[in-house]
Amino acid sequence: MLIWMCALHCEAKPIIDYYRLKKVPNQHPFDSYQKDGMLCVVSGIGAINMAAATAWAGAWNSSGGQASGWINTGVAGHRQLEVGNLIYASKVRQQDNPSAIYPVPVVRHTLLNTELISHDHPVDDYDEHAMVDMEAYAFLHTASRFSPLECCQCLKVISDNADTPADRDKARISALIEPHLPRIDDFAKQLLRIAESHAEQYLPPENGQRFLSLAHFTSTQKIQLNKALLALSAYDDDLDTSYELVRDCGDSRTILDRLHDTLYQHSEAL
Amino acid sequence: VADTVYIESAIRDHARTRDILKRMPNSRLIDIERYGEVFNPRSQSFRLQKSNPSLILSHKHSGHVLPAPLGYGIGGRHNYYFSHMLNCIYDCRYCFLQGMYRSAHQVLFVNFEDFAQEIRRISNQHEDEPVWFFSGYDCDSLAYEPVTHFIDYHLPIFADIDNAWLEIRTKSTQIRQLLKHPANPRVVVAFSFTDQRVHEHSEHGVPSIEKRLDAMQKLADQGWPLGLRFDPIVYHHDYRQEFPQLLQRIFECISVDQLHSVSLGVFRLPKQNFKTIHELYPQEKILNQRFEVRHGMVSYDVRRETEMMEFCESALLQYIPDSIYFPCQW
Repeated sequence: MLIWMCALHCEAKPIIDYYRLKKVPNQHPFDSYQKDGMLCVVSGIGAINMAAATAWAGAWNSSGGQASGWINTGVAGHRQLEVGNLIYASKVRQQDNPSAIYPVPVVRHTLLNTELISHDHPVDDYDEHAMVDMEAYAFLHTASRFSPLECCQCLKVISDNADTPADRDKARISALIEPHLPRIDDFAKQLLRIAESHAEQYLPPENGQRFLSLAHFTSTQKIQLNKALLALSAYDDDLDTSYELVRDCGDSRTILDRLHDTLYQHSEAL
Repeated sequence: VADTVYIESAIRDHARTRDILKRMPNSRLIDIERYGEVFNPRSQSFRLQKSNPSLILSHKHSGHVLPAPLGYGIGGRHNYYFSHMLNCIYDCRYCFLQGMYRSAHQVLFVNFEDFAQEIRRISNQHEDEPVWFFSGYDCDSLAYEPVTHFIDYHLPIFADIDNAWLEIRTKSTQIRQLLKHPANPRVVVAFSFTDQRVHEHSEHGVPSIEKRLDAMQKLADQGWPLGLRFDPIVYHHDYRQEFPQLLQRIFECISVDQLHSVSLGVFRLPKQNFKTIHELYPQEKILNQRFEVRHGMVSYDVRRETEMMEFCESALLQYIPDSIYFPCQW
């Protein structure tokens, strides 16, 4: 799953149009758009809205501990950088808080990068070197509770600088983001592959259910079963062979012993 | 060369920092205060980072040289280790570093002078007794040498201290800097090997056995004392065929006269370390074997461990004298 988090509808619109996302029809606390493993959520302005929306999206999409890729995209200000530049946020902190979050640069790209400071209110007295926005820190802080930090990234387009003050022209904001979508898409595809590679560390819950129905497992045994099945799924994709092997065992201890013996056979062959 | 380099502000203008950055003109540079800001946060995935690790240039403030763990040594009475880097450019699935740190970024401490000063102080403390210093505990000693020049800096230091002995432990073939220096009989270049099957399966990015043997031969030709490290020995159904074949390949290239020491130990990891690594790589074959926990360490059961040690020792001692053999004790 790839999750886009935007503060404003006009920031989300280029993403929604590019990927042809459809509005999620039911009543939700945040406007959301989705299609084929992709979700775009509009949080509203500010850290509290962004944290709430990110937490909601994380909870809504959490399944079996698998990681999603998260991108906070939108506009930001910077003293000198030219309006329209697409920038990778390499260090993000909250105004007046020296403790920073460093998005992990696992995606290979050639974008400019700079620090980003999230403020509580709109600012026009820009920092000397950093971009300014109002949501990125809250986004990273919250999204990294649901996915590894490597899967949480911020891409910002410069909308205002010392010469061009910020405005609320929605069409202009969308137009600033729209030309960058091919590069943003390339970044997103790489991020999604990274998030999917993390999924190998987790067994989809439905794969373990039929084994659990064969006998009573204690909590410790459930963990052992989960680990054994996850390891065996490297050899037995759908776990059908493993299931046939243990369906007549009768008790949990025998099931685990038989699964482990099979696993050892595979593993020790190297 | 790392895509991204994090630099502590305190060493931004350090001559060695500037020198290293010259060798990485296209890297993205990010300023930090302390390396822990990037290296230590929770919610990082060592496994995901390993696909594109960054370099962190840092200053080491204390603990430059530490006493070696018990059982770690090759015959000396005073054993110390030091790590000018944390983490390794290679990706070996049995390596304890995977479970040691939250981050796979490589940390390089640029204040080499402080390491040298501490090595001198400890050597003086033991006066005329030999003191062993082991490099390559938290990193590969040579793999990053073209960037760091760490060994290049330290060889003259060790040449200067009569009772200081150095082990450079590596799987790398980066020996160019070493070959620029005259051989020092108190500096042992120790190469780690696993058998071909384990190498192919578990040692991602590590030079082939042939390339490492070629590097060893070049060093031997120049008179450098060499070491062989068979640690860990990893169990698999064919280890009784593969390990003797590995020895045969090695001793076809290297004469026993050129060897300073050989050590050998079976796969083992501290319990918590193993748990972390297994969570990172739950489908990894070498981590899904029949293990037991003894004295806080995860390893094969006693019967298998004894059988492996006896077999490998017996094969090894057909080539080397007992006097240069040091089994790893734990």
